[in-house]
Amino acid sequence: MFAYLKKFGILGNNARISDFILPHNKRSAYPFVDNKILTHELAVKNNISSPNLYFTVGSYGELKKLHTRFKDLKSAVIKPARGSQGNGILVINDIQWDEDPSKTKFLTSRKNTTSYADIEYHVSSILSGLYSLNGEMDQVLIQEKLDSIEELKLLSFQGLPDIRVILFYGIPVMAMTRLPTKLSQGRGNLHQGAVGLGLKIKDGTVTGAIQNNKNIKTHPDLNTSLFNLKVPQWLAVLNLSSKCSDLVNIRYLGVDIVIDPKKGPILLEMNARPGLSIQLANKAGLLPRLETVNNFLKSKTNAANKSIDPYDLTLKEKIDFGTTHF
Amino acid sequence: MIQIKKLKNILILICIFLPLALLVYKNQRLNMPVIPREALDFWQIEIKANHKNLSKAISALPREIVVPVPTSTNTQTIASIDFMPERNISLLQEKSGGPVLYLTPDQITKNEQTLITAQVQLFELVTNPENLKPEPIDEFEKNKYREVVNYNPATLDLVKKLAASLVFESDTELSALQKFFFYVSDEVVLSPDIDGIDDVLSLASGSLLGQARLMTALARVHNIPARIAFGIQILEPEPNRKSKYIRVFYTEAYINNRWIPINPHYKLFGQTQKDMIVIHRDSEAYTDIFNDRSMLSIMIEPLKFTSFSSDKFIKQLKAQSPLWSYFSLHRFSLSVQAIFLGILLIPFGTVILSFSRVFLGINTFGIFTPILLTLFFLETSFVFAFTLFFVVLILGFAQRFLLDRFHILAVPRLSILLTLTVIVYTLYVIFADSLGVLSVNNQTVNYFPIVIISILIERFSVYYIEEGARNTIKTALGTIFVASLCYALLSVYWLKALIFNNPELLLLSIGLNLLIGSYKGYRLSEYFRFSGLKDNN
Repeated sequence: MFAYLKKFGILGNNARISDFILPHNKRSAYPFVDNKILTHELAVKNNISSPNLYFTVGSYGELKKLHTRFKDLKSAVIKPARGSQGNGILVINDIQWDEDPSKTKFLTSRKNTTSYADIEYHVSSILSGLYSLNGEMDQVLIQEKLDSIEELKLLSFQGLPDIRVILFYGIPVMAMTRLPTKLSQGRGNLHQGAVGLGLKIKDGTVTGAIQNNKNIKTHPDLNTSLFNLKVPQWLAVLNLSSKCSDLVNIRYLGVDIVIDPKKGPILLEMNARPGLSIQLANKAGLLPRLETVNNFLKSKTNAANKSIDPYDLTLKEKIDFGTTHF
Repeated sequence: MIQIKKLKNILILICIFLPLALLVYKNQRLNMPVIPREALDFWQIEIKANHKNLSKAISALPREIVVPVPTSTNTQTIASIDFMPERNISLLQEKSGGPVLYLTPDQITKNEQTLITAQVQLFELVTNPENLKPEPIDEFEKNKYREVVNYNPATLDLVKKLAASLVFESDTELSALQKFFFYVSDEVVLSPDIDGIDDVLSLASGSLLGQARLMTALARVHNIPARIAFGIQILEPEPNRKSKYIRVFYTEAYINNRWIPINPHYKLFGQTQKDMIVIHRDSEAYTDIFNDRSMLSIMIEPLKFTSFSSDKFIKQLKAQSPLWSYFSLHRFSLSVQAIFLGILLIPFGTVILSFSRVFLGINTFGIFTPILLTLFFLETSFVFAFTLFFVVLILGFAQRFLLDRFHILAVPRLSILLTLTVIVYTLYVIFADSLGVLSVNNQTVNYFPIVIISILIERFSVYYIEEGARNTIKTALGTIFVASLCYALLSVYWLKALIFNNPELLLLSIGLNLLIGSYKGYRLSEYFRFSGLKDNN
């Protein structure tokens, strides 16, 4: 009954956990990807471009100063440090700041104008742990609002399209772009109804398109064809993703990247337990690709006649391997 | 890496086979029951004599009308006995076949029925005639049981001829009896309603009564005292339910001061029968009454085990194995035992839970919520807990629409939700009580649901935020499904009793979970999740 899954080499949830996440991802490294503040610090220290962090809120006491800290900002994104799947993220497109908090107006992507009280409530909700992975107290990031290049924006209904790259030992093995839709309410979550486009590692062209696990040809809201895309700055995207994976001791990793029109590829976040729907978007399974990487590493080890650390591979080697094989 | 894998496999083998081996060891070597049937084997038996039908029969049968009164024997103890209308048991006529209740025509017209209710405990089986208790009787009685005057002369002749053809002169009483037994058990096929000796002989088939009559007659013509006994064979011992049974007639022959039970159909010679309650041991004169449901109706029902039987069981265990009796949970009072009955089941619920997740790919709220829900089902009632679950879900959705607008922080909001749930729960119990849906007592209503609901609400609210309404409902259904599956398994009575009496089986849960946890193949849900791949082919 599972013959077709085997034929495609689909990586199932059980194998994902027991063969890849548990043996290859060090639990102690998780905080660096689960906590966006730590990810940001790590990125800044290693010259990886990531969104500007305006300020953080770590306690209820800091809420008093919250209003004044928005004074010089034109736009911002409010994020829980340990949120998952884009929950609790609030995008502010415009801020009309006033000395009086009750007169300050925020223009958010979901409602048109939002009062300062609503913003403060949202920040305190994040602090209370409403959006954090296990309901514990959380911290809040107020970050720069990123933009995306036209090519991807044309295929998105509001929101911010991003690119997810899955890396195994720093070698990019599979990628897709996630396009927000009306159904996903501007979010990039596949299981909330965003569109996933599988991308060839070789050149960033489209291999397949899905929404809610079903194949589609055109964007459900915009009716534009999804298969003409060729993601620009593709090598830069792959390079950034591979560099990110060097930062943390997580060898089976998902990296989310936004291509900003001015700044180029920017690290959005990393994920130690990347989802499996990417296979459906690519019409290909992960297993044979992961196996190819494994064999490559083994042959390297044998050739060197010693156990080599895969991290000894150069960035170019990793990217070349990915683009030639996948 | 290989070493670790080996270690895991060894651990799995140990966890699965050790408890099973212990079970076999305890059962075979220490002779300890896997499920202590003997100690738990308390039956309530109700014998009801219908006076109207009996008096109709009186005209046809001009003789005394009796109701058999069960009594203690080799294989059973009567723990208590009650009569309706009331009788004094010491005034009953005691005979070697057991007491009977004589009904005078006066009593028959005065009351509609006579009801005898007895609590019977069945013992371990006697498998060797030597172990039967001696029951000395005098020569006068022996002769009474050798009497053949009631047989029709032609029949008697046939029986005598048959007996003579079966037995050699060198045969002892016992070996002769065995030969008769083999003859009846091999040559006579069971067939209902063939009760007379002539028919049994000519047709080579007979009812239990017919077989017992032939067997008794064969013994008597060989000068061995014999009689026909009557009992109730329990067919499917089912807890908490009226059990099925059949009426059994068998022969008892008197050798070496012992009454030896002989049942050709069940191929039992000198052995007592499993799950049989002996009602009366000298029933020849009353077979027509005993065999007639309209005159004598009998009902049996297992009793839940009592502290008395637990005490007794512990004593019995101590004699068999001091070590194992030390670990027996029967040492506790019944209320504590009931709690352990629940606790010990939890690990087996987790096996189902793991299975549903790893093989089927069903998502649930939190990891152990379905288990808690199962215990809630078991504690109260399925329908009650089931509906409460949905009421709580609806409350959960409603609060998000209302309380969200008030800008209430998360923890106080959940606290309000919990308060609402307690209010709903209280109202619900009141309604359930007044409608008679739920028998309200401190077993069905306790703190437990509130604990479960608190956990459920918290999980629910997190899920709602993270996954949205559609996935929340899907997950709620998954939770209910897994909980129902656990409930179905854990309501199996013998399973509960098995784990309670053999807690070492808990290792099995570890073994099974290790096994399930090692599965790396696809989940059933993934078959559907990735079905989009098939479109292109």
